[in-house]
Amino acid sequence: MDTYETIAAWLGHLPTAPHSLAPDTALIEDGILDSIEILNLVAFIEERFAVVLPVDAFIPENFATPAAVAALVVTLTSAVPA
Amino acid sequence: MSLPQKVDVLVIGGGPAGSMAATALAQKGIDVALIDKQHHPRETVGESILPSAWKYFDLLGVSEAVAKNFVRKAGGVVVWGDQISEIAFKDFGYTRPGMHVERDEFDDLLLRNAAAKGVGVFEGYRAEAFTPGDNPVVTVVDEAGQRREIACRQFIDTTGQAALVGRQLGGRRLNADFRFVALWGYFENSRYFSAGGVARDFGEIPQHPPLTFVTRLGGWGWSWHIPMKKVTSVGLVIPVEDYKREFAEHPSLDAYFLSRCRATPHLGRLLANAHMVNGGTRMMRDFSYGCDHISGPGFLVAGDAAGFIDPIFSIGVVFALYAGNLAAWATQRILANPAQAANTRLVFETQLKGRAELAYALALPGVERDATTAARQSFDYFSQAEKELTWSAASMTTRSQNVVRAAGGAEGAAGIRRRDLATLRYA
Repeated sequence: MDTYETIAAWLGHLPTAPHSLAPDTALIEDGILDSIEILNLVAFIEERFAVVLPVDAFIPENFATPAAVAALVVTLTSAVPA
Repeated sequence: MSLPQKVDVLVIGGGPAGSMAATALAQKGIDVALIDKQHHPRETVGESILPSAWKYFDLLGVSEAVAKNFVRKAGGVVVWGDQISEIAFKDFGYTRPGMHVERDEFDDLLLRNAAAKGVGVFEGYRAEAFTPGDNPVVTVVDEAGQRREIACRQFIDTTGQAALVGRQLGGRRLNADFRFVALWGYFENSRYFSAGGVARDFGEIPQHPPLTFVTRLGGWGWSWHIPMKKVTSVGLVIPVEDYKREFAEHPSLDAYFLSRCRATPHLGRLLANAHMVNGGTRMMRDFSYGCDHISGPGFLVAGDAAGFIDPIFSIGVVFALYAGNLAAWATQRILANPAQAANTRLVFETQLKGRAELAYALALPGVERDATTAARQSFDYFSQAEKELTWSAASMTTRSQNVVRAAGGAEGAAGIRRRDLATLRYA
């Protein structure tokens, strides 16, 4: 599974998820991803992709859509370790 | 079970923030103990709960018990100067109601649930002091005055206004924008408002769910009226200067509180045949404060211990549950990845302060000031339904123009689902 598919699969298991999840589905606005599930998603991403979200990654824009979440993960996984 | 000398996580304080944090950690399999200086059930105030609390109740596994044991509320009605308006939660797509809860019983329910989910709960132990660090130590005093130490890997301060961390480290600041005193009491046989602003007798609550009733007092003060199972919680939030002047003209606090309640339009009418019970008038002076230190090596602070903001829109319990869950998440992240502890504390602080800034913008009385970036960002974590509820609630008073403005005036106006009422109706 690629990054997007992995993220989409996790999101698809939320009880609030719609039947079909598009890359631009409004996760926060539509109440699919709430304050509890965002934290669970971060925990999942950090474990699955072995990354640590820096403090400035915790902004609503990064969780607004499945595509935005996937883009965040791609940025973090492709960053050159310091 | 006796108090451990060593535990992975110690939660100090058994209100909603503490029970939330401890239960969430125990559910993840973490070794957690919770101490409280009092034995629950114990009295506290803040009885009105918004429907956004249900996601936390679901997570805790208490939704059925909460629905069964407390009064459902349909929304709120506000009299603010000449404007009378109502909001109904169902207009925003909420399928579950708000709640009016006796806090002694509600907090006890959450605490017993914590114990049932694996938290070691110890009542009658007061935390006196702590030593921060990678392996923090908390000094605890039992009811006989005996001291002992508990070593842990992290602790969470949810001590409410006792503010363990805030008082030991200093930096607990009163908020100068909120120079209010709160007075409150409990009444039997108060009438209440139901949907449409219709006044009803107390006994009709099961058939006609109540609204939380708020009215403006002079000088940005406000009153609350919250009907519960047996009694109604009634409170006045009064500017400090008014309180000092007016109280001096009365023989007692009860006499002052009752006369001020009875002189308040609509509130006085609801209370016409009611009488105060449960031991008279309560008072709280420090009506809004913040703390400089809400995290540090080995600890996080959540709930009222981290800060308290004039709770005009019933956000207190939801804010505590949010903070408790955030603290549990951050604690777990610190335990799993100690090298990133500083990053996690910063995330915790940023998120919690953003929420506090939002609450502050929402309650700010009569001050022209734009909401901060942090508040706006926190607001953008809300779903459209939550945003519209917040805009609508904010638009019921003139206190919260900051929020309507911060959210983008036009967009906010479109999402306002307030019902304006010509009058309140008395049978």
